[in-house]
Amino acid sequence: MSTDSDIIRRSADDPAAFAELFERHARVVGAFASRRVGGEAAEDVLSETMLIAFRRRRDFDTTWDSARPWLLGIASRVIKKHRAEEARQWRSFEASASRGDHVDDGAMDAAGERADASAAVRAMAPRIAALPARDRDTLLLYAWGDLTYEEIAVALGVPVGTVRSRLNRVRRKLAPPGSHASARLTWMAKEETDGAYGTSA
Amino acid sequence: MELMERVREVGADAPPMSDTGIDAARVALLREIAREGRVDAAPRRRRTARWIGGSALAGGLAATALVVGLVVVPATAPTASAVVFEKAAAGAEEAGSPRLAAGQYLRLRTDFAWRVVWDADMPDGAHFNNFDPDDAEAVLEVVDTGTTYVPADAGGDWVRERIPYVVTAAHGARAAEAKAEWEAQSPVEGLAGVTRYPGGVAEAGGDGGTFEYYLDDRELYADLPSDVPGTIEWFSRRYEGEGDANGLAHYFAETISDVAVFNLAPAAARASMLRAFATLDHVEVVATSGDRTTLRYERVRQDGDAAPIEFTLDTSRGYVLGVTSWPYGTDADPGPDAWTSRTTAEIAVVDSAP
Repeated sequence: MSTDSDIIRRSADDPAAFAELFERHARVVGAFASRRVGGEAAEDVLSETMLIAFRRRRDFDTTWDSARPWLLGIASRVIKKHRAEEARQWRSFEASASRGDHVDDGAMDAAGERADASAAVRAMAPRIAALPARDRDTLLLYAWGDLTYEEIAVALGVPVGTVRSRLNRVRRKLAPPGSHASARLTWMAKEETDGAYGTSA
Repeated sequence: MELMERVREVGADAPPMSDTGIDAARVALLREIAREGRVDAAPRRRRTARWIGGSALAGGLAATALVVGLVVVPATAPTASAVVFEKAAAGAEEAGSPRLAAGQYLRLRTDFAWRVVWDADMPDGAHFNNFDPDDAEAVLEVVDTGTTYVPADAGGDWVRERIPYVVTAAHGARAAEAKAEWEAQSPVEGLAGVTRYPGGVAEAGGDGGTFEYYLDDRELYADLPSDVPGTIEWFSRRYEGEGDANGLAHYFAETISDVAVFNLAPAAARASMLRAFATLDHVEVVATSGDRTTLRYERVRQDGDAAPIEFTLDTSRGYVLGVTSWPYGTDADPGPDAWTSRTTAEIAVVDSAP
């Protein structure tokens, strides 16, 4: 089976070959976009992402076998043009958590645990929404896009150390204030930004 | 719950992108690919690699159509072949009807070749009535050539020249005998020659039931919709009662095989039909050379027998330049001599007609 890299190389002379890349990744990119900006805007994001990728396919770093990080990185940049839709999406996540969409029937204890979890998730949505865009992109490529640090670095065009420092900063910001995790993460972040990884953003 | 787990929970219930959304993006990409292909006029070397359209698609996607802008184009289609069909459809629209200077003609020549088997064991007068090549002592390749000249002034005389039933090759131990018998029996008289059709209007029928029609079938295409579902419905009405079980596959095989008729059709009609065919599954791209792409499709009967058909599209102008058919029951990779019919077409602007 051809790697994405093989396909992109082939598509330089044979543009139609690029269509296979679409079939491989459209649903993943579409799902990522749909979760971030909602279904309607996601269609535009997916379409524009694929068009940009096709037009810039010669820029793809063919040392990478998979094009998924590259495509999700393009999608993340395209998503920036849909701020209003993204804000609406975060509000809807908060609202759906409030309605208890994450809770179904069951024993009282279990229901209580789920309610706690739901509350935690509900609390998370506005805080993620309030993150700087670059931090939010990094976080969501990691948590929703299932990319590794190295892949996120490729996707966003930043050094891997920047990805580490961003994610630690995000962890610190999202951890409940005063929590042990918050303190520990603050310490870890300080260690990193003090030079353990040599770079920050 | 760990922090990252909570992040992953946020929006986890969000619905995935709909097929319609995926289709719309696919169509946009296919159009961009087709556009780049047209812009890239540099000749390409012939590629022999094959890939099957739609091989990477999730199975079972229905052929649908989507509205993109004001144009409905095929979607959820086998990708590689859909690209080729879309490119050809766009080529037909862009090229339109060739511009002809006064006195010039658009010449559409079609050479239809088929194989005739000759079996000495058959009764006299019926030596050619055996369709089994394995029993034959000779095989003849016969070509029927028809050329239509469309004048610059469509109201002028359209010209048709026919050179029927020429034996171009004879194979087998008794080839000479078979060829002589063919030439003795062949009813060439009355078919060969040049016919003029004022305004492109021909007459058909007989026994008091004659009717007139245009050589380019413009009346037929007058109600052909430009959208894919409409075009498929139009095909259904046109071929009412024929091959309903195969639907579009049947219409496709019938239409694409009739090269002379297809190429004479108005550009917009060819574009619509090509876009409908783009929704066909299991069309294989066999080879590409410049603006010519050869595709392959297998018609499958209910008994499972397949009949391959290969056709070559001129993607820059939306014409069919060649069709080769194999009989039902043909292996997946038939030999070069196993075909039963082969049609080639040439379309050119010329300064005169016979």
